[in-house]
This record gives sequence, C-alpha cells and structure tokens, in this order.
Amino acid sequence: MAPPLLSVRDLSVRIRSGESIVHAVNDVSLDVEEGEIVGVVGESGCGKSTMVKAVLRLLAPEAEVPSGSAVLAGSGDLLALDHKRLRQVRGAHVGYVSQNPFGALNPIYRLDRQFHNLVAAHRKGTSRGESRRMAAKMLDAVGIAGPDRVLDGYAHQLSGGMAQRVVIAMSFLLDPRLVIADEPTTGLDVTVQRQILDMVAELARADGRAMLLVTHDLGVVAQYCRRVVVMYAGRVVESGPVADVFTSPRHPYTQALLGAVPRPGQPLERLPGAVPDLRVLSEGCAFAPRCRSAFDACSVRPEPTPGGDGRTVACHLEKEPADAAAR
Amino acid sequence: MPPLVELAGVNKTFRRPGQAPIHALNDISLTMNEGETLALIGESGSGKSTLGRIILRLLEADSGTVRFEGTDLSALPDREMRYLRSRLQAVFQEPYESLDPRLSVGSIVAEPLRVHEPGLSQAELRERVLTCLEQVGLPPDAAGRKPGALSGGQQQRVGIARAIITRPQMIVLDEPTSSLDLSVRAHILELLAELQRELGLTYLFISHDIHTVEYVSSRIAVMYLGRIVETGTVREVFDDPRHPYTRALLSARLSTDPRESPPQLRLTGDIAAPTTSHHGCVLAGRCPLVTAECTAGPVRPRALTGDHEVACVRADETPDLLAPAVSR
Ligand SMILES: Nc1ncnc2c1ncn2[C@@H]1O[C@H](COP(=O)(O)OP(=O)(O)OP(=O)(O)O)[C@@H](O)[C@H]1O
Ligand SMILES: Nc1ncnc2c1ncn2[C@@H]1O[C@H](COP(=O)(O)OP(=O)(O)O)[C@@H](O)[C@H]1O
Ligand SMILES: [Mg+2]
Ligand SMILES: [Mg+2]
Repeated sequence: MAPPLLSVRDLSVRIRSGESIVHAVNDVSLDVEEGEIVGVVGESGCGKSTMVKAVLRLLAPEAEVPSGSAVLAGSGDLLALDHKRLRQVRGAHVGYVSQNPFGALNPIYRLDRQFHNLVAAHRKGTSRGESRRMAAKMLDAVGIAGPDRVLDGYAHQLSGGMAQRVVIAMSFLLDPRLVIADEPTTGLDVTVQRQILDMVAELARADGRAMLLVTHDLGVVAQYCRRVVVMYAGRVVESGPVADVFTSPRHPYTQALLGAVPRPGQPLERLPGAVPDLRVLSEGCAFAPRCRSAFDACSVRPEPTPGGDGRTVACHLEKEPADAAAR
Repeated sequence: MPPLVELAGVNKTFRRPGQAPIHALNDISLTMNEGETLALIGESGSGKSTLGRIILRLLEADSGTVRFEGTDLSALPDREMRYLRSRLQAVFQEPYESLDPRLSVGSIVAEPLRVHEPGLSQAELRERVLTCLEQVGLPPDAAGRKPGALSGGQQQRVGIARAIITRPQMIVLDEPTSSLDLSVRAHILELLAELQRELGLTYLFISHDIHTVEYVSSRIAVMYLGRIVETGTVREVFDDPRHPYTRALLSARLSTDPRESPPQLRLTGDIAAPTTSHHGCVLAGRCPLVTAECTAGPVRPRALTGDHEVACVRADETPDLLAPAVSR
C-alpha cells in the first residue's frame, strides 16, 4: 500500500501566553491518503487552526513544537525542512486556505500581481499573461463571474465570500497534491459552497488530489469527506470513516457534537459545562468534566485505540463498555 | 408608528477609475420593524454586507432614501448622527479585521463606551466591560489578552460584547456565528435572543447558515446580484419558496446524515457579473423557467399572500414547475 500523502505523528504545540502556557495541540496523529478529503471537526478553540498552522510551519513566534512530525510524501518531514525547501514545497506541493482570507491577501497589491508572484515564485519565467490566464481559469472554477474585475482590483473591494474564493483559487493554482483548508467555506452561500466542494471532490476522484478540511459544518463533512478527525482540547478523540463515525459515534464528545445539529422546531442543543482550559494539561480525560458517562477510570487519560475497522477512539468506555454501562 | 428602518429605491454602485463600475445594490426597498429579526440571505457578493453598511451609515447610498424612525438620515445634522451611531451597532463578518490586534480585549470592548458615554469613571468602565465579557461567555481574564491569543470563536464573542455594550437599538450582525461551533453558536444565539427580549433590540442578521436563519429570524429577505428577489416570513419563504433562486439555495442545504443526499436544484449557465446592468430579471441567464417576459423589462417584487413578495414573473407556477420540492 502506498504511504499516506500526509502523515502527522504525535504533534504537539505549546503557546506562550503571558505567564502561562497554552497546550493548544497534544499528540495529534492523522493521515491523509491520496484522493480523499479528510474533515477535522471540534469545538471553537480546540486547536484545529493551531494544528494546521504547525503542519505548514506558519505558527506565531510565541508558539513552539516540542514534538511531532508531518511527513508529506515525496517532500519529507515538513517540520524538519530548511526554509528554502519549505518555500518550494508550500504553495506548489501543499496549498493552504487560512481561516481569515483577508489576512492572506496583500492589501496594497492588485490581485493579478499577487497571483503572478505566486506562480513566478515556483515557475521562473512565467509571463504575466500566462499567470493571468491561470488565475482567471481558477477564479472561474470557484464561481467568480468576470474574473477580470477581481484581478484588476484590490482585496478590500471583495465581499467576504469572494475573498475566500480568491484564496481558495490561489491554493489550487499550482495544482498541489494536498490542500489544507481552515474553514474555507463558512462565508459562502450553499450553492457556491457546493460548487467548490464538487470541484475539490472531482480533483480528488480524477487526479488523486487530497484535502485536509477544517470545518464546523457537519453537513460538509457528511457529504464530502471520506474520513473525519474529531478533536477535543487539542487532542484527537475519535477518527474514522465518516459513514461510520457519523452514524454511530463512539466517543461521548462526538455524540454530543452530532447531537447539537439543529432540528427545526426544537430548541438548540448545547454542551453543558465549561470549555476546557488549555493552560492546564489534564492527567485524565479532558472531556470527563462534561461527560455523562464519566467513571473512575477517566482520571487517567485514555490513549487513542485503533479498533481494526479503521476507527480510532480515545475513551475508556471502549475497553469496558459493559462495565461502564452497569454503573 | 413608522417602521424602525425603511429603505426605498436604494442604489449603490462602486466606481473605480478606469474600470467597469460594480452595481452592488439595485433598487432596494425594505422595512424593518422594531424588535424583529430580519435575516438577509443569498448569493455571495450579492450586496448583503453593502446593504448592512448603508443602514449603519458606513456607506452612502447613490440614490434612494434610508429612514430611521421616519427620519431621512441624509438630512440629519452631525451631532444627531453621532447619537444615532450609538443606537446602531455592528458585528462584522471578519473578527480579525475588525479587532485591533494591538489593543487588549478589555480596551476593545470599552472603546464604544469611551466614545458614547465619556462621563464614566475607570471603575464603572471596568465593571461594564467585565459584565459584558461574562454575558458573552468569555472568562474575566480575557480582558487582559490580545485578540491574537484568542481562537476565532472567542474573537467573535469579543465583537458581540463590543456591539452590545452601548445598549443599542439595532444591531447589524454580519455572519456573527459562522466561525463558531454548533454548541458555542447555540449559546450566542440564545444570548442574542435574550438581549433582544430584554432590550427590544432589532437585528439585521446576515448569514449563509440556513439552519441558523430559520431558528433566529422572523422575516427573511433573499438577495441575488444586488437585488432582493424574495421576502416573507420564515415560514412563507422556507415552506413555499417562489423565486427559482430561493429554491435553488434552499435545496443546496447539505444533510448531516451521510446516508442521505436530498436532490439539489442546480442552476446552470454563467453567473452574471455585477459589472453588467440588467434590463430584466437578474437570474434570467441561469433560470430554468425563463421566458421572453423575463428579459423584456424590470421585474419588480410583487405581493403574493400575507407578507410574501417575490420578484419573479412566474412566481405562481414555480412550485409546480421546479422539482425538487424543498419544503421539509
Ligand atoms: N469598496 C468596494 N469597492 C468596490 N467594490 C466593492 C466594494 N465593496 C463591495 N464591493 C463589491 O460589491 C458587491 C457586493 O459586496 P458585498 O460585500 O455587499 O457582498 P455580500 O453579499 O456581503 O457577499 P458575501 O456573502 O460574500 O459576504 C461585490 O461584488 C463586491 O466586490
Ligand atoms: N498566539 C496565541 N497566543 C496564545 N494562545 C493562543 C494563540 N493562538 C491560539 N491560542 C490558543 O490556542 C487554542 C487553540 O486555538 P485555535 O487553534 O485557534 O482553535 P480552533 O481553530 O480550533 O478554534 C485556544 O485556546 C487559543 O486561545
Ligand atoms: Mg480556527
Ligand atoms: Mg458579506
């Protein structure tokens, strides 16, 4: 079997914040295979963006990565690459759609120039006309009518959803094998969202391209992702094929997450209890204080345990379901 | 009593030297009543945020009128305009864009108070800020942090805290919950509903999240390419959508059950650019029901039953002609 396109192992990130240290990402492992879209879901603040930025080496200076690797097939461990090589890989082999599209665009250059700079950095000697054609084609693919008016303009002239699409177009411009996208479609209406996801799905199906997709939209995960990674308090608590995880979630957090999907006419479900404080590295299961099924074993942290069916769950109930149910 | 906000025939075109003008809003008429939540949904780039900014007086309309409690705003003297600004607040789409990264969360939230209630003492200011942070579910120590040290969801809460601190009459919420997970989103929506009940707030709620819109709003306006194509109560629009664009939009909702994928009504054909002016219906180039009448002249909203208004010459036939039926 071919090795995964992206293989993240035991990745941790700590962020210095004043007097304290935020344990934003803890021992995260995940794989993305060729031709698949993998969803990453979890509470706001659970470390999704930090994890993604660590893989792409885009963390703020106050953050450090004490352990872990992120191997991109054919490019090596992204976390160990020197800067020159990193610049070659980023953009050309792995694309990135940041959560904040305006932050990713330069406010003072016209957009055609930004597209050109991106292409020229990786393909020396590309003419402006050539990069403009590439950009226009990509903008068209993400549903922007009249790409010229966008290319001849500036970022602040775009609507939120258009800026998001420009960044998506940039991330796909050089045909990278993997795109890591952090909530790329939150600002898009559902018809445009589907157009873009259909495009990504087609690239995955036909050309083996892959995407790691951070999203709060469980509908997107259900309909477009092959596998899903569920994070809580900086850790992966459950992962596996979407078809299985979404129909029979095993981790109590995953169950609560899926239970919060709004049903018309019913009050919105909320997870009771406080959002975990990532400044303390809990010895037990971080979800235990909010978990309906917590029992004494939960004072020791459960390890992510592969079940053989492609699913991994980090919960003591997995080992002693009968036992726990009896309590 | 006049409606709280009344727009009539509002147009807005962005002009850039040497380039085609962008027709962002065309002939927009809309009313909002005190205490209601009007949701604005629709195509990305259709002019929703622009409309919000015009109501907030952050942008000037090219033509048409914007009335607040019956007063034409363009005629207001500066001092009254400033007072009005404190009654109108906003939570924007991009928290990162709207929060100054150099200021602490406490100063960001206090800022509107400093402007609009300059008489407050430091202690009073602090008190109001802390109460406000608690209201939006942020820990008290958030006051001393910089926005960069908060996750996207937490930043959005800061934006909401800043908007409610002056106790405004109306808030334009431009995708306030789109970066929040479902559970946090539910908390925020509940908070917004609570504030609305207590203070009689009026919300213009701009969102792409149809589930959220269905939950929070009393009325809905659907936009496509600079126009309002359909308005009505939530039930009128969601249970019986009559504009083909509304039907396409609602049918594109994704099910969270991987086993089911309800049929989608897809609009084919090229999406028109906002640089072109339209003589007839803005959807004509992509509409499956298009007839000669659609491009013959302007298609204005017309009333169906109740509050339901649709800008489509074939609104009466839409449900029969357009599968899939999208009401639940
Ligand atoms: N300052 C500006 N200069 C030029 N064009 C602008 C400016 N602001 C907005 N536009 C254009 O006006 C149109 C409407 O933009 P607006 O931000 O109102 O859309 P929107 O409905 O909020 O979209 P989204 O759902 O993507 O946020 C877009 O075509 C946009 O590019
Ligand atoms: N620069 C920073 N300084 C301090 N804390 C940070 C910084 N960036 C992120 N954090 C913290 O790390 C945690 C994870 O944040 P983030 O990765 O943005 O979450 P998500 O993307 O899942 O919403 C949060 O508790 C956040 O407050
Ligand atoms: Mg994030
Ligand atoms: Mg907008």
